[in-house]
Amino acid sequence: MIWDSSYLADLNEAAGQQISTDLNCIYNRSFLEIESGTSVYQLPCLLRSLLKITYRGNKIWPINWDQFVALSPNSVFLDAITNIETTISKPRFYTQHPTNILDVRFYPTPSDDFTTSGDPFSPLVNEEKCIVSYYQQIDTTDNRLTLPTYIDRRTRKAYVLWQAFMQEGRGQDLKASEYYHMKYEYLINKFRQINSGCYVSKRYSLGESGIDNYRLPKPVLPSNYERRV
Amino acid sequence: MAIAFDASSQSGGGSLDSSGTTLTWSHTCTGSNRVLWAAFTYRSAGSAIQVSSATYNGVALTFISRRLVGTAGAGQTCVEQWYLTAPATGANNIVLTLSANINSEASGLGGGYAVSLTGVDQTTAFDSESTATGSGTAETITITTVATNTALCSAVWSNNGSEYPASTHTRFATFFGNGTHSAGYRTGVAASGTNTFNWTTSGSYQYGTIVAAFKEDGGSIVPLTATLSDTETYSDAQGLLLAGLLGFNDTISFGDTLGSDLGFPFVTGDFNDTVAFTDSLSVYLGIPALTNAFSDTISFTDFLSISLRNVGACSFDRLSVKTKVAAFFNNPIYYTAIDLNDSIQDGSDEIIAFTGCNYGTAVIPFVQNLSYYDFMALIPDFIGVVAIFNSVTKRWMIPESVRKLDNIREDWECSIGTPEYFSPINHRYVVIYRKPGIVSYGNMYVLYKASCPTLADSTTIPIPLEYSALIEEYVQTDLWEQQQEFTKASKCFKDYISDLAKLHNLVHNKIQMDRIPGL
Repeated sequence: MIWDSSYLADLNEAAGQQISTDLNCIYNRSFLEIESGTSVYQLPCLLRSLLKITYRGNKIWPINWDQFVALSPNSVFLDAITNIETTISKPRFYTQHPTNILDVRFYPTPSDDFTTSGDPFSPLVNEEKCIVSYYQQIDTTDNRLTLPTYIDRRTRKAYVLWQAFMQEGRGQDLKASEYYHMKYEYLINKFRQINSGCYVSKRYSLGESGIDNYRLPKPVLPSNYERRV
Repeated sequence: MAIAFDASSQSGGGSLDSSGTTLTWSHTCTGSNRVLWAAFTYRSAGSAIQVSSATYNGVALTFISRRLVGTAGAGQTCVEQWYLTAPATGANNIVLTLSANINSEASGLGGGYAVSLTGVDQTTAFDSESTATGSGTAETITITTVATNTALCSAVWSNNGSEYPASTHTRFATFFGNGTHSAGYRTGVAASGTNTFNWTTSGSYQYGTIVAAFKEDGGSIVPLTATLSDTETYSDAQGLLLAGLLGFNDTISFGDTLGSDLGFPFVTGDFNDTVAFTDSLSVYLGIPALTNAFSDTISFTDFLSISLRNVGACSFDRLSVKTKVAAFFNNPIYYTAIDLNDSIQDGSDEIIAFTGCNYGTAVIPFVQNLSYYDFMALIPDFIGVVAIFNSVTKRWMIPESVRKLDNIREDWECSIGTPEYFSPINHRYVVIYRKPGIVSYGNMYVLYKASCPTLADSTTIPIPLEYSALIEEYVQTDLWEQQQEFTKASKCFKDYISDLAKLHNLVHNKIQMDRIPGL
């Protein structure tokens, strides 16, 4: 046997990580546990791309660190003890910490205590929750957070064989490795197309007009329109 | 090949061992594509006696179902059924191991029955089952069959009278012993869905009955090493695909005029004769469209691998792909049927997912306060949403980007109201705006791109017929990969992705040429 099961299992796990790296496709939402007077929170460890944060249902707007310092010059946070909190109120902005991408800092510092119970996919108006939407790594312990079956096995197989044939020693076959590398790239690109576009592909057929003219006339309403506080 | 009766037997002439727990009788199976159905009915002096295990020629039968009639204790009756796919041919023993000793009971309280059928699907012979109990003169049992052209096997016990099956059914066993025990079968159940097996008694009595349905053989490739000697009869086929592989060295006889253009490689015009092939044919023989009624017998002897299938004019199934791929490799035993089936399934999955050529519809209820719908959980074969219709407002919902929804209002996810917009988030989630705040608001109709179903030989693959070569190219690539023939695989893969792009283009851009883009 050229490769043992343990080695192939390692490559299979690496395949999941590589696919997540190559393509943001695993969408998830989760609650952040908010503590009054604390401005820095750690995001889920599998998070790879932050999409949105809502606080009491309202979007919190992202700003960069320079903008954040301009808003609050005395911002510093080293750890739970060594930090200076800013104004306490309802957060309107957040920034990702300059040295830890999984830390976010809110401004103003939250004045509420929120729990993590409930369903983050059914947010309610003014609900005492802080919800993070993000793309994350594949998590094989949760069916919602894995690749769909129509793509998963074949993509993993291409990755595993790409890497396995590249391994130094008996069984190395760079031509085979290159072949599976090509197949892996092909499958990832196809899945990227499914994720990014297939769902709008039929819009043309449903309406009489082209895509630019398709939508009904509709004004963009101000951000506080109909907002309940 | 239609399902046909082969043989029946019952334990009346069999034996009971000294422990009283093993009931044995002989049954002879013949023919091809066989299934053996065995049943046991017994009214015990105590609590119901059941079958613990059943074998034929030492091979275990699979339990189907059991129905107990009456309350536990004296006089409770058990009716149950078992089956075995591909039972050995010849005379062999059926052995039922019972849950308790029946030597001590009064004789003639029940027994075992068996019937063997031919022309049954050997991959998934069992279709469905049903049990019933009640009282009356009509002991009709209803069964919901999945496949078409099934055969039903049934056993019944009633506490008195005589049991007669309907005229289209055949009773092969009946005897009296603390009630009446009978077994029968019914072939040629053409329609799927609700079907019945009708028993009638001479009076209104308590009864218990069981029925099982078996699927017709959808056609199969006989392994290269096998020798087939068989006769196939087709009636009124509108499309007949005849596929031969290698070493085809025999005679096909047609006694009727079939119509023109039969599709044998060099045969055109009316076909009303015997055609003899005396050398390896090694090609795909097609009769693409027989327009005349075809009611005759085709006889084959001593050929190596052949399949006969009825096919529609606009579609193809797994068997036809398998046949052509096996012919391509010119060595069918190098790749097993499992290799081919797995590869065809993979190819179909990939092609349908990547081109979006298969569509489905679903009715999904709006859920109170739910913004993000997990369509992959709600619709098992979901790939991507095409459109959503709000059945309450009777309007199509409008696809919109999340960024634009962010600009409508900051807390749009929480907004309660009439659902008007939707936005796909990824391959799984779709968010709607707004969401109903009440329970039982109504339904949305979802049009979606669907994944490929799990294929059997007779499953129609939902890809346009003219693109069937795509699957063949995928399978060839895949099988060459498995043999590490990467140069060949690479070349075939290029053909595959080129044809895949054409199908994608057809599905997305050219399916409606009578429309000017942008207008």
